[in-house]
Amino acid sequence: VTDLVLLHGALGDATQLAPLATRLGDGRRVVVIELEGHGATPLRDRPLRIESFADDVIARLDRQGIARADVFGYSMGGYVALYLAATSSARIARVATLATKLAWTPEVAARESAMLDPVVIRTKVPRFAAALEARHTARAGKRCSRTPRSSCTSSALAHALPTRCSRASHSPFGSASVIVTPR
Amino acid sequence: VTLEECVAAVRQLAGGELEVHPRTQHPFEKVSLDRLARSLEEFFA
Repeated sequence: VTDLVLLHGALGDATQLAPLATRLGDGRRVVVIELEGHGATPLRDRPLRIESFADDVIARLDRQGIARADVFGYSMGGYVALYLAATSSARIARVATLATKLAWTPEVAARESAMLDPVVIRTKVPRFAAALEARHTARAGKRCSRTPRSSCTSSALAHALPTRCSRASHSPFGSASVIVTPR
Repeated sequence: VTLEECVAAVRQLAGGELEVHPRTQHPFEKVSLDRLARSLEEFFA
């Protein structure tokens, strides 16, 4: 049975996926990987990029002796999963994504980036901002020693979003879909 | 995430599959984990 890796979304953390992991653990190893700058995983002195998240996933597979894994990615985690499938096919068996937006234009990217502005988050959805700070400030990264890490992560993530796509359709929070990609 | 963009993406994938979970909002906390788990179990089986 192939091991299964679960990847959370932007501004999420490993605890979000724990209830799903418990539902999937019957007969296979399920590994929840927390991405850099999220939850208790510190930021490092580098930009947040899908590529660097993917490198961290491969490093984790190496550490755990996992030669090949299936990967599920929620939202931004789906980009990491798809990137891994495209660049590390020897290590990735199958990929499933949920709520991973696939149609990007510069306008959509600008709007999504704006939604990650910590000032906007605090102003428009203060309860969400408080929840994020509780989720991400357990161990603040050194670059954010004077700023809640959720703020640093949300700002940095704005640069990790896809910006090139030929399609214009959008409705980022309308519905969720599961897309499963081939071996 | 629109259905149209998902359909377009799946059509570009040899062997790709698409499953729609209707009336599901984006926040993960609002996703039906039982339904999602069933979908993933079936696909990854």
